[in-house]
Amino acid sequence: MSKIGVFVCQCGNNIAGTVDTAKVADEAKNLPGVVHTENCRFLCSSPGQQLVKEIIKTNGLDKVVIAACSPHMHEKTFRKASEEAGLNPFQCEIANIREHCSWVHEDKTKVIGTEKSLDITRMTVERVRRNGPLDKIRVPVTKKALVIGGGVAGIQAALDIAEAGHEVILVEKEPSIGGQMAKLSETFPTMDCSQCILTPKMVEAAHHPKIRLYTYSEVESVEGYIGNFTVKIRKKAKSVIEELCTECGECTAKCPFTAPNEFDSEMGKRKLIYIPFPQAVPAIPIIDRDHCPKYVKDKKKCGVCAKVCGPNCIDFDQEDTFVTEKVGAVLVATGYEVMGVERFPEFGGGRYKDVITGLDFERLASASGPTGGDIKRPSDGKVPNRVVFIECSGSRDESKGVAYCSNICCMYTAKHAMLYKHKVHEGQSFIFYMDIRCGGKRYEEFHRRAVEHEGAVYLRGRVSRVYERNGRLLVQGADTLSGSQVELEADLVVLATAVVPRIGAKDLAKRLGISYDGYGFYNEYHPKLRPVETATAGIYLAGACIGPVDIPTSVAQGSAAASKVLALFSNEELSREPVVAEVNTATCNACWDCETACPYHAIQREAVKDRAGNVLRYVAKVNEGVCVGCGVCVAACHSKTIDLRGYTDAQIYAAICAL
Amino acid sequence: MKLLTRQHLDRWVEAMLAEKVRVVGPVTRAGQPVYAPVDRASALDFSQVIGRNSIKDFLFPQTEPVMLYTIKKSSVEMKDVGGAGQWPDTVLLGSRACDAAGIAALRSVFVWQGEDDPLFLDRYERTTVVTLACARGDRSCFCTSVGLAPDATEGSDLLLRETVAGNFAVEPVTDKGEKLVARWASHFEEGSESFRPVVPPPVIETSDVEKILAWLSDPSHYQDAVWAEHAAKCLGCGACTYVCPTCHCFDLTDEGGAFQGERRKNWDACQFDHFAAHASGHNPRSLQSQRWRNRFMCKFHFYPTKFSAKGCVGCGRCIRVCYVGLDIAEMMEKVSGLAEANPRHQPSAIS
Amino acid sequence: MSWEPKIVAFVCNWCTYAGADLAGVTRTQYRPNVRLIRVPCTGRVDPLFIIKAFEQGADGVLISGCHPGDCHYISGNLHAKRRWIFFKGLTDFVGIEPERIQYAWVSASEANKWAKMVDQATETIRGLGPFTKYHALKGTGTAANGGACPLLVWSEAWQPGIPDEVPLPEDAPFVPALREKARELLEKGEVKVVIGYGWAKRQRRIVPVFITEPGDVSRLVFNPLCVNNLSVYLPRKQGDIAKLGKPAIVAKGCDIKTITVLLQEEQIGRDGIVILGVSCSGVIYRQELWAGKAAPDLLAPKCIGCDVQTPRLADHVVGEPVARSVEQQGPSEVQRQIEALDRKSPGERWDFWAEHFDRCIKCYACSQVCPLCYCDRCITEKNNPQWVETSAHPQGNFSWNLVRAIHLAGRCTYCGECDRVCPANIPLNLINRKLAVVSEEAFDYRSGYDEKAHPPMVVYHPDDKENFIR
Repeated sequence: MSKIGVFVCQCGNNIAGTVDTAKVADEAKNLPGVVHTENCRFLCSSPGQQLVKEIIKTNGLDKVVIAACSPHMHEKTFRKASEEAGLNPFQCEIANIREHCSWVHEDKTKVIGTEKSLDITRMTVERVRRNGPLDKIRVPVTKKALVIGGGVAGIQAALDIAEAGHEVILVEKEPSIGGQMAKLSETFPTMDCSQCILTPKMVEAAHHPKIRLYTYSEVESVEGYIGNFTVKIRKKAKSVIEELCTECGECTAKCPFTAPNEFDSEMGKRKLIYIPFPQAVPAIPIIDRDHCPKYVKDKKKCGVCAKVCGPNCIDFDQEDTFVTEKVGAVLVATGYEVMGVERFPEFGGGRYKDVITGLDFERLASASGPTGGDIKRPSDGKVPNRVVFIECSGSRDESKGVAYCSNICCMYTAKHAMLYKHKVHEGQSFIFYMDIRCGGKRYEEFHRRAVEHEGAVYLRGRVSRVYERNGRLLVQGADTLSGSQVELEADLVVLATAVVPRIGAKDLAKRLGISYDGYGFYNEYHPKLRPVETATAGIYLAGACIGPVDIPTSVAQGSAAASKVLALFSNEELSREPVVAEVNTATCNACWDCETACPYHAIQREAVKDRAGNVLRYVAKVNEGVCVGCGVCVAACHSKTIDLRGYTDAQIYAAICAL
Repeated sequence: MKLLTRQHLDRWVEAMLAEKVRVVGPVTRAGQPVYAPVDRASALDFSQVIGRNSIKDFLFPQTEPVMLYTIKKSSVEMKDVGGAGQWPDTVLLGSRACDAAGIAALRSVFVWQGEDDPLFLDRYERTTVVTLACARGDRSCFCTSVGLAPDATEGSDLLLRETVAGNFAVEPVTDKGEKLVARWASHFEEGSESFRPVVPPPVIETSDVEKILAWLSDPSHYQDAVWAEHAAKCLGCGACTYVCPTCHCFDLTDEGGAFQGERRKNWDACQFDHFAAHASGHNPRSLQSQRWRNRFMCKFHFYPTKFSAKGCVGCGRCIRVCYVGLDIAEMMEKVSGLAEANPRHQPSAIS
Repeated sequence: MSWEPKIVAFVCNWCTYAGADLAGVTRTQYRPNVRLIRVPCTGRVDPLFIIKAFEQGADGVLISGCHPGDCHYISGNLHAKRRWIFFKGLTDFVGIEPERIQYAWVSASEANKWAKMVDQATETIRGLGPFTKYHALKGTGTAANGGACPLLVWSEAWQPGIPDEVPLPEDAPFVPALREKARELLEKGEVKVVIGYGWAKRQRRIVPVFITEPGDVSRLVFNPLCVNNLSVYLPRKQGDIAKLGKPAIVAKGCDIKTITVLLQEEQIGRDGIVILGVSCSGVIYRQELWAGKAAPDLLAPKCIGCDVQTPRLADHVVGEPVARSVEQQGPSEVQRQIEALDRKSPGERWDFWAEHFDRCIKCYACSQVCPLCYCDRCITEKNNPQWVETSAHPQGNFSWNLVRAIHLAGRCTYCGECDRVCPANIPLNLINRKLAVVSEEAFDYRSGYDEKAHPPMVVYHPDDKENFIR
């Protein structure tokens, strides 16, 4: 039989005020297995802990119950003390008689508190009798990181990790890294040229000896667990042999065909063998197989690019290839997109060419954009004299399914108004807004500048509709400050549409085994205290895939997540709490309910073989590196073949039976 | 000969009940024949062929407390339950010959070479078995094929035979039976009436328990294909063992809370897949056909050789309750045939 | 001392336990009747805990964890929610007062909510009084009677087989085609055994047959007596059959629903079996009652409302498509009884089930005949800890029947075999069907129709609707 010691803490008067701790200690002596009890003034104090250790040693205790405050308070303390006295730390259990008893039942007669404390102690003693020793789980760490998404957050994270000396795989689904930031003209509140500050970082990432870049590639699958992920990456066929290409651009120059350029919101054209924008990194072109006559028509035609290519790197028959990489950490920085104008029929979105999104406006204002930086409206290329901006298009609008604020629109709209004024001096901008939110450093000043010095007219109110009369757009809305209805003529209407998750965000989350919110933004482990971690150990987040953020925050999150990765990589191996599930392979029926239910994909299939090595059947096996000990599998298992160490059926059963 | 008239039967039962004697007999519940304790004579219904439950229920109940225990600080306090005097005197009135023979078989197990089971013995000693010879059998009866008969006396203390006049001729078989008649002498009278003709169930002609025993005694037949051929469809529910008058396996289990509880003796069944499983995980009878083989061998080999008793009394309940139609009599025919033919059997189809 | 309600709370470590801690820190006073058992996540809470708590004298049970979306284990509480929806459906149906089991989301900051919940639960349970009904189940019935269960009723017919005077049913017209297909499969070696229906040798009844030789295919028949769900022979547990090699199985549409679940749960592989689907216009429930025709009142309950007369998923289908007969339409008797029970009070429902479960002899025939009870080691056979007591006393019987039902919830295809074979005639169809209704109403899921789907108990949807969690 066990030799259990029960230590009852008075916690000064915190417990002793409403619980007769002497009586609890005394009666606990009668419980089966209890060989020693102690009634102590402050157990958590140094002398208290010393006492616990001494009594464990002198009495040869093998299990300990501490009847004191919440385990959230001092479970670690007393498990450590027990360990120092030579016990396995998991042979120590806490009976919470303070938060759950003495503090909530202030009965000065101590009758209620004492009785309840006795019950709690008895249940804990019965539970601890079933405790087995548990050892920390150790897993090796592969010191190589995968960064998904080559926007500014991903680039920053990749650079930080690489600079610390660890290898990084950077996967970008577009032909070039740079993300949304590469599309921007200038950036608020400093009005730096976006390309100017981003491009050096892009180049640095591309040339860094520790960073391997996979552009035009996607993560196909992620298996494994913290420190030990196996990633399969699909490299989509570029039709160009990357290793041979010298980025001379001859093919692009000679390509006789064009198609709308997605990078420019299809306002401009590009060739069918192309790089998305002049500063693209890498500048290796890809062939647009949706349009190139080699693919859509008779195969024999054209082939100009192949003829002009010096190093012979055009490969029309190239197929998607797959690479497998082993990494220890995954950093997700997949970014955002904006709601398209077609979601706003009331504003003529999709119907009128001159109703565009803020991101489209960025391209119009960009020196590398379709108009070379001149503000010309898409319909006829005229310079607009009046531009109406509509903020909160979709954001903070439940009817569009977006309850949140998109965070960046107030600022970039102010920027747009300024850019417009700088480029079209006689032009007039009007901005409809709900509230102006300029929380960042120097943001409010920036906004005031737009209002006070750049001539932007702010109208507080909602736009009800945008329609066309006599070939001109009319914006009808309310000005709630003056209390009047307004109708404005506009040459161009810019909607600050909501920032939304990437279309494939949920799919990727499922492949990674991370959770996402109702919109598809990824969930942090804790929104405040662990903002760049996910609930899945070893997977980290940065940038707008978490929610709408501006550039400084994206970069900060990239660095923050990188520092988490680096903290992980500072260990040769990880040690984890041993509260994990385990399978009794003899009784597993291989129904895989556990596998389906496990939120962490911690259940694997293991072959049971006979002596000759023939596979007899498969049974469930818990990957201890992945399992976090939630116990969902245990409740799902009909035959109770899976159990959860530290919270075994036997322990819970014992506690119930000791009611 | 002693007679028990119809009227006296009822009065006798009422008199016994008045004296706190527990009377168990055939009654009809929800249209079904069962053996159950009665609280009045009129509840008894002797027209049924056979009760659905075996009469062993009243000597060897499905669940029976053995002891109470209290776990103390460093010891366990135990208190026996049952034992002498706990059970009322019982008369099993209207048992069938097969069920009575089953009681004899159970006795051979529970009262064995000095290793007596006090719980069984106490009940047994307080129980008098009054068997009523069957007037007819049904499609599942086969007592005549295992050496019994509708008016066999094995295991009975008193045998009643219906007379043409509707009364019962009384034939004491044991001292216990004599004592019962003597104690309630006023209800019995001397007389002479001719017995009502009895229609025994047909003997299964191609079956012979002696040949079966001989064949089963050859260890090489242990792995014979006939077992899988016959019993593959068995699903191992164990219903056959629950209704069998001679199945006697039980398990002890402690049930209760953390500090006190009851040790109980519960029926177990060799048809359950974990019945013979070892702690190591090895199961010597891992296939259902092997478990069924065990049941058959228990009836026709182990019981006769170890306990010199009939392991199968031909009541046919296992045939009646089996929902996949497994038929022990069919197997008796098969094995008898094998014993006859001797060469190893080559199965073609399994049914 | 006057009676005080005894309440057990199973709470998750991260939210409710911490919420209760906060109540302590803020000295929020509440009633002392609750004893907490800490688990990492509500997803760890097994219905067995609740049952055992009642067995051990609890008058009420609280279960509480993080709000949906706040789970520290991504989705543990959403899994829990699914289980609770099923379990509540079950406990309500057997007449456990809803107030006895209370569910709540209490976050780490909701000390007040926790205190209030404990107070309210204590008072509502005090209002109900001790859960004597459950506690008193112990010690009555078989054990106390010192003999056979006095209420033993057993199934309708005591005599197996069809009486000599009643003519046997004719074979379905497609039987020659069935035999031919079976012969072909065996001759070509595509399968080693054909599991089908045939006549017993000594009795006039249909039994399962296992044909291994092409010459024996004439033993195969099909007629309205072929009620058995033969898919019970497919899982690994049936070692005798597995040893024979790859099987073909004669299966009605309803049997294929069960096969579908076995495929879902990977107990068999689609390539590992050949399904010989048979068109079926209904089978009778108890073949002993055959009196010359498949009269509507003899039809198996599963035949009422059947929508799989023409089998799906089969490799070969024999027989012409069958239209739904008049008898198979309209409200089923089982449905009617469920509705009648639903209209009753919890107390009346409890009495109904207590009376039935009292008869249970724990023979476990219900689980042995169930093709979906394929566990090598049933929970009832695990004795450390022994969640389900082995003794056949009413309390253990109650527990067993609850456990059996919840383990089949969302999976049962309503083949009715358990109900058919129960020697104590417990109307298990009612429970199984009731939980199927829960599954349909709450999750829009019908078991047995999609071999690619997961059983609803092991998955979840963030929007699962319920109206009982506080």
